[in-house]
Amino acid sequence: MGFLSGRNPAIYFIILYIVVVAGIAFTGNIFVASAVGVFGSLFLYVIVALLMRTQVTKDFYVAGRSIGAIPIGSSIASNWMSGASFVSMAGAIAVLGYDSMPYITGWTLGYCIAAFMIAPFIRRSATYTVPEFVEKRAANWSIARAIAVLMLFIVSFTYLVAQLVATGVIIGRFLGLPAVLGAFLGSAIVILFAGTGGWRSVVWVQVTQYWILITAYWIAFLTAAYVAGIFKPWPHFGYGELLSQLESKEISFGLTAFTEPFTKVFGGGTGEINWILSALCLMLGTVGLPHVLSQFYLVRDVKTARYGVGWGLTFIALLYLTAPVYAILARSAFSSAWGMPIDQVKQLPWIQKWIPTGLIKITDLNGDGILQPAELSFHKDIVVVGMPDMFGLPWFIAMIVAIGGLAAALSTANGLLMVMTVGATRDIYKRFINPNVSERKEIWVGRAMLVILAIVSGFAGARALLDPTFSKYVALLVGWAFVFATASFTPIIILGIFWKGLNKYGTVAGMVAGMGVALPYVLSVGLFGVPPIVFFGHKIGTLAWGVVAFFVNLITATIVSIATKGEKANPPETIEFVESLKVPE
Amino acid sequence: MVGEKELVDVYERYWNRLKKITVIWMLAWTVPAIILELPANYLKNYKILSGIPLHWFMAAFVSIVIGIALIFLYAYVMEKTDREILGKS
Repeated sequence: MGFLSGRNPAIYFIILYIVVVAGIAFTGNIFVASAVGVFGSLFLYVIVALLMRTQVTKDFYVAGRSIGAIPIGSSIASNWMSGASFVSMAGAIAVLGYDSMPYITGWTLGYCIAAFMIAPFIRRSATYTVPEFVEKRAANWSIARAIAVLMLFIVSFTYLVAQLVATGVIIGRFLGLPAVLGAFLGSAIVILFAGTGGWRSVVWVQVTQYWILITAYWIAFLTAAYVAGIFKPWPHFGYGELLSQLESKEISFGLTAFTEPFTKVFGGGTGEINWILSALCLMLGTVGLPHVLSQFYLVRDVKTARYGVGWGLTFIALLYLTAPVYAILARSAFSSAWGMPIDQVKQLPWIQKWIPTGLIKITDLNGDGILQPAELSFHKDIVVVGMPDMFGLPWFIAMIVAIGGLAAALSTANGLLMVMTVGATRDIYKRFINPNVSERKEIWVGRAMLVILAIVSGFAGARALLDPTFSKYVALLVGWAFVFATASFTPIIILGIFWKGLNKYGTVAGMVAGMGVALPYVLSVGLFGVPPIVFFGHKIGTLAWGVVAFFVNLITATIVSIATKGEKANPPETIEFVESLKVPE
Repeated sequence: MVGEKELVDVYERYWNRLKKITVIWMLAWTVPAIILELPANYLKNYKILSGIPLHWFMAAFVSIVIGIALIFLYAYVMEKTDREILGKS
């Protein structure tokens, strides 16, 4: 099955690609070499997508249910890690220190819940989409499917727009093209990946993109770590001294130390309770996101689903365990400028390069000509994007980082687009409009949906780049997606698998109650600036509140199901469906 | 040839074992997800590896590695259960 076997156009392309980029670099034109390098990586994905093209609906929707554990692990990882994970996460840690660590634990340990309670059963269900699963579980009630599809579209669409924005920014930053053009280019490229063979193409493109993005992240990281001298014996264990130096410098400048816990605002709240609950909400939300669940349909069998999630988390961890160290490296680079005369700081090559982009700002607030920490402000993206310059690494490291960031944004984008396409084709067109459609026509309907969705999201991405208010709402929605998933889908899916007694009344009541608790709080605290609830002196932010909504949903669904005769209210085919989930085929 | 009743018994046994394993693994999951992070204010006073505060290292490294180990262990134990009770190769 592997596309890397045998005589393969992809291999020839890679050799040609390296020769061409190196050839241009030798002529001394580094900018052109970078541009060719970054664009050339896109062609590799197109070749992979074309090799995997298909006309069979089962391949188009669920990659023929044939993917093995290590490939699905890579695909899970690149589907999961967005442009923001690659470009911004290390920077967010560099800004917030220990208080940002719910990103690290929260966006990884959700996969444990997926492995133990969800992935094997989703695979076993033999359904094609999450909304289909929900409908079958809710006694073939079509409204349940419609609600699930709507939820899938809201979450996936905002996420996709964020990915196209990231694509635009990366292309803009590295190639000097307008970011809006980059966003459209991103959506056009994704059409090529997904239109050729649906999930069968997308999954193998994602596998390719994972290995490219992780290699890029690690090349930049390891070279910077080498220059900073933290191979003692390995960067992930060797940064102790560097961190101690950084923290004593921070304290001498009157700042709180980098790893001092619970001093800053995270997810709109403060304190340890907020920290723990925010992390839990991110974990619970992970397994309620439709584009995460969809990957579990693609595997060969239940056993592969279990191991596949393990590989998925391993591959995710390769980036997530590295980001905190990355953050410390960057913060040390910044701190080395503190206390220097500002004129001298402005002569540093990397400061000179990045000040015009606006990602770094230097303002002499107290007018003493000496740089104080507060006088050097930086955008969180600079940590990954600017790292090669901070440590004086050669030009091609910056190019590799750009290729990796693009791979991260595109891999998430094509997964999201695919989830929406399958939702539009299978859950709307085939379910409600034309159930007797022929297989060949169905795939063409799918491709048409794909093109429409990609163009609409391309325009939304362009709008987000041009209009700061629109962009603010996209960012807010992306953050809230985890709260809404935690409040609505996660408890219902878990109950639905493990408890026959959950019936359609309980399902609806639980989801309504969960969202009824989550939505008002998120809107009032997150958008209208109402002060959050304070619990033992810890402010409960919007993310942390998601856990409350989770339990409200769980309890309401249970009580309402019992009150409406529980299991007896379920028709025999629903009971049969739940029974069929229990035992691997 | 197994009778239908025996087959139902086998499935029942399999599902009971699976439920027990799920409960154990979800309890184990609370260790990296919650328990290791709770004493952060206490662990911050301990430095390991020449200067890394322990609470930071728990969140930034240890908990995730434990999470990975738990998933692979689960997959292995379930594979064994499949073989034992369902006779799958």
